[in-house]
Amino acid sequence: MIPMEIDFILNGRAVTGKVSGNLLLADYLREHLDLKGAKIGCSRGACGSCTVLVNNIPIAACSYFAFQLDGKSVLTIEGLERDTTLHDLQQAFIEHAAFQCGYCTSGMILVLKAMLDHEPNPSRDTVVEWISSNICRCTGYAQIIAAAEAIIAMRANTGPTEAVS
Amino acid sequence: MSGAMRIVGVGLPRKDALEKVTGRVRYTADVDLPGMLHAKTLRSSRAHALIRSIDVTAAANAPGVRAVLTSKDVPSHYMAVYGYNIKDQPLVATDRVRYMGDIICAIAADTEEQAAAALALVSVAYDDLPVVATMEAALAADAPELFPEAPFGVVPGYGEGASAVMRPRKNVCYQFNYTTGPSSAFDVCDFVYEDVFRFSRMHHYHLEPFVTVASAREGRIEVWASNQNPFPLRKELARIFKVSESSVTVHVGTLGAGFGSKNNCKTEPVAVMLSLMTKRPVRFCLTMEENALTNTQHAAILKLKTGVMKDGILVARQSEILLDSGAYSDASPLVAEKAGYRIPGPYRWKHIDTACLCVMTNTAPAGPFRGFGGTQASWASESQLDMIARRLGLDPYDMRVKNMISLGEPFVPGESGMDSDLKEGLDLVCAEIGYHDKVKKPFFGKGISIGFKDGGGIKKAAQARVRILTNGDAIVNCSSVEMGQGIRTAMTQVVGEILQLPIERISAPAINTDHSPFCEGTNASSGVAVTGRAVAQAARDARQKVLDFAAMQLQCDASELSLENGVIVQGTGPNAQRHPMGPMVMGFYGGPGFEFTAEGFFMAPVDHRAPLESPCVFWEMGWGAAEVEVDIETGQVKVHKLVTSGDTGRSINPLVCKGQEDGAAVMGYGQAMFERMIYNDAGELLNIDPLIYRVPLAEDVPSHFVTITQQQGHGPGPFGAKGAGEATILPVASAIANAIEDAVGVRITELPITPERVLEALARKAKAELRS
Amino acid sequence: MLAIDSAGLVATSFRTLPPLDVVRAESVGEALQELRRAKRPAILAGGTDLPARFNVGDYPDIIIDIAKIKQLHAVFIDKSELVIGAAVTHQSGSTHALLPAVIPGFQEAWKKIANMRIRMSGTLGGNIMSRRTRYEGAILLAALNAQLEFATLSGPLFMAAGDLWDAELPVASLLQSIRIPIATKPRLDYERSLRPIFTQAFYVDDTGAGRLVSATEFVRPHIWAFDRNSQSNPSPEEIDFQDPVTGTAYLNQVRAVFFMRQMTRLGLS
Repeated sequence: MIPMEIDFILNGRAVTGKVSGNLLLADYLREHLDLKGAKIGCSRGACGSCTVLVNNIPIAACSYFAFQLDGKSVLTIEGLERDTTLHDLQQAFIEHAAFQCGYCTSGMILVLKAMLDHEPNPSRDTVVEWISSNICRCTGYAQIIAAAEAIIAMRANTGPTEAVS
Repeated sequence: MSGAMRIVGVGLPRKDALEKVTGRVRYTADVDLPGMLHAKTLRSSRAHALIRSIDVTAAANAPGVRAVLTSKDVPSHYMAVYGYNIKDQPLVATDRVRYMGDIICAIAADTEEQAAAALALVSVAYDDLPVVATMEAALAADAPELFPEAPFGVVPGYGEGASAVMRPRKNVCYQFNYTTGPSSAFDVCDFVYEDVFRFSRMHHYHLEPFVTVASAREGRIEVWASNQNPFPLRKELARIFKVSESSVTVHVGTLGAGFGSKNNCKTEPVAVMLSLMTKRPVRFCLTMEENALTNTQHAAILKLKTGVMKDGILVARQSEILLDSGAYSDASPLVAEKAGYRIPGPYRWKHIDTACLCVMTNTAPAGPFRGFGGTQASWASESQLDMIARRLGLDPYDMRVKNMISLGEPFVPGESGMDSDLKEGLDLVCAEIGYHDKVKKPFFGKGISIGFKDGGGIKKAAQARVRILTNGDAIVNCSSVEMGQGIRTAMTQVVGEILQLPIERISAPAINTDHSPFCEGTNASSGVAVTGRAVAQAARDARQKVLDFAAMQLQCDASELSLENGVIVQGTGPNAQRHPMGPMVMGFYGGPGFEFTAEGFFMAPVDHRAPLESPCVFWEMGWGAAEVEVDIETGQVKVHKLVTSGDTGRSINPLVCKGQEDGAAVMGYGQAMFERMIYNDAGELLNIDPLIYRVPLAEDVPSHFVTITQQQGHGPGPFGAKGAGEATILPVASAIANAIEDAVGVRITELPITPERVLEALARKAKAELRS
Repeated sequence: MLAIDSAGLVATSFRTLPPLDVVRAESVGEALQELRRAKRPAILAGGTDLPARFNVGDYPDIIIDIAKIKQLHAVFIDKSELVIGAAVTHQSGSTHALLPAVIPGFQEAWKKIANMRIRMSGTLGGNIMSRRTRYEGAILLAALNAQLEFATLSGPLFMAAGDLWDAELPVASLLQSIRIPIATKPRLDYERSLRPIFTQAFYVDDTGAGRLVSATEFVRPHIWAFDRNSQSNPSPEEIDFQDPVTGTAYLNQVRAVFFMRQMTRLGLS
């Protein structure tokens, strides 16, 4: 039960951390690194409010041990902005009011980021399939889908507004 | 005025947009105080039992434990029970437990892990009592009494025709009655139909859990609560812990949703008690499983006896509604009022007679849930109306139009007039699904519904304060809780329109009961229609103060002046003179500047002629239409089209209103089709696992899903607004059930509409046809 | 919720997880040695189901991380079997180029399991070892007559996927791979439109042999052997499902209806 030393990339920056075996990523981010953008909803991997991207794959941070980060790269909602410029997904969420209480929003945005990185020109069904990973109890999903579709249409015309990592 | 800014009615970015899309927003779940302890609880594993003994010795000595709370530790001078009008829920269980999940013991420790580990060392000796997990069981002659001694409670005042009584019979904590018109009206009816409907119970499934951080020290109690009604909470905590109300401070920031559940005491009393015991801040945050055990919607059985003329004219309705209130009364009496009051639907009657009973069972306490009794009532009322139309050979559309209340017509004697054109809304949703198309595909059907509730609350009072700062920037202080519905955005838009000030220059700070103006609570869709009126008044009065000041400075009449983006405009047209506020204010008050502050107040008028003693502030109408296809071999229902519509009167922010209506409709859709809490007869919640409890996902939403926001303009709120956010949950289930009968001729009277129930109904129909 | 016999319920979660040890096994042998020593081990591959265990108070004292064991990630054909490593994720497995040709219908079925987030890190091995029909892997693998290959200290142990429910596995055993016979050209149809109330997988191969696997989210899969060449069992017999939510009569009815539809889709009627 000796803390493990881990090296990983946190929102683009190399980090070394000491973590105990029973520390889940959700608590590591929120309590140790003060990155509270990942929210704890169901603590069971069902709601996806704590979704972050590890090596560009969406994972529920309540279902992932901190030590598993060793050698990997994690992106949280706090890492999505570039020099105070919002990611186009964040901008689209604002324009379409694609959130209400906001508790699922970090996770939803990151799921959609992963989707766009894996499938640059997804259909509406693909959007629905990806966001069905997470639960939004407020919006009925329509405005989230609208935000995603707006970005897909915009990128089809102009390409992404920033390099996707 | 030409060139005026349009702020109200525009889908501006929400005030909370940036903090929410960047993850910077902080909820109560994120509050972290220095030296904060963590609470966990031991909950009953029995649905109904006497507590013979509790042994906490080992737990008290476990690592990290700072306090162990059982009922023995509650000072006798506290009034350690809570509830709305009936105080029946103990802070921790005293002599008995009444449902699986009842709190028996709480521990505050340095970490949640230590608290949980210590709780595993507690032992409890129970003497099991018979369990009543259903309303039928609770009302049986030989049922055990859940409350052998009557808890303290009060019946509020009611107006014409309405009344209530506590404990009218065993295991019924409250009964609401409403009567108008002579019961002899039934005698003239051509037909009288009796039907029974069953309504299932949902878990709110708000993503931010119930959570409180409490800090009690030096005679003061301070809580950070995820709570929809900070002021009633303050009053309740002061009463429980026997301190002056002014020494309780409640902080409410942004809620990770509530849907009604986060009203009144939930996690707060235990957190405060543990903080009093430890003199340290205590965080008490539930898991999703515990959320489901803390507050739920009301399951219901609704018996409707409706008399009609053969041409479809409605005459008389007698209703008996049973609400499954669970183990503690919570808001059940209030929900009973509303379910009972709303059961006639928005139609004309000669006679209404309603009884609504709150039945106590050994299940989780039920309380407020979006729709607040209106969802239950609309399910039954709009289903039966359709059934009667079909029995009479009438089109359900025609029957509704024939009976619906006209614009301006009171719902019942003493009530306020209907403030929506009901036919206009119905025609919109009918058009969207092609209701009147005569071509009928086999196994396809269409159904419609008009959901109905009174909005704005009863005798609801709210204050607000608007402050215009030196340069014209503004702050709006009011206590409508931001829980996702966008109320802080709406309030800044109302103020922005009145002050002609961009909302970027207006802030709407979080609530602190020491400083924020009083508000009864954020419920009943009352934000804009009640608190918004106080805000609008405060904004107008603050503006007037600015203009009066400027008139004094400019030595002119205030009527010559207007305020625009922090600039005093004198005169109109090209010759208007523009005076920025800043220099003028500092010229008079000096460098530190000044604030022009005004208070606003609104309270729905009290009138004993109105049955609930307060004429309805506004009517919250939700129209729905659905097109379904039924697989008659499996009973599967595919909803091809779902259309709902609400009337916001005037949308302060159309984008926000649409989001609310989408969300309410999808919540109603989940309830219609699959979502429910499943209890067995032992009082055990079978689908407590947040994965197994099924809420709608994006993939569940019908492919043709439309919400139409009407702005009919008849609302009483600022700029003609009404409240919004609950309307479109109301009509969904009945519209779908009505569509199913249209498709395959069977009637589903119980929610959710599972394929099993559809198939059983089809089998019954086939059997009946065989016989005849 | 953790049920404590002598007291009541405690809401556990990952935040109440006691201290534990972690071993990142480099080989199957190393994992087995750790399993042999451990009291309450948990095997970590994708990890997506672990918090469900914490939430019912099932706390491991050691996590044995097998993600680095390369052989558990392979998908290949070994003679007459499709071999899927236990740590193959749903996403990489279900999109593997081998699948469509060797078992028509399997890819479509597997692609629908869980959701994108879970599919990208959840593994087929973890899915089946959680012994929850809700997770669906067990239904598909039982239909496909898959053999589960466990590594144990005394050598490999094989078990039919459908037998996992009642099996008592040696303490030191690690699911290595899932082996699906393909010599007889199996085809699969998976009907999940009623999920989670009822789902049904139907498999048939060139010899006319088949298996119908029916399940609800609450009860284990029922397996019925189908033989196209036999006239004695043309349709499945009634099952006493004992589902706590849905009635047995209904489940049998849809079972029969789905069976007929699946027969049609597989060209058998």
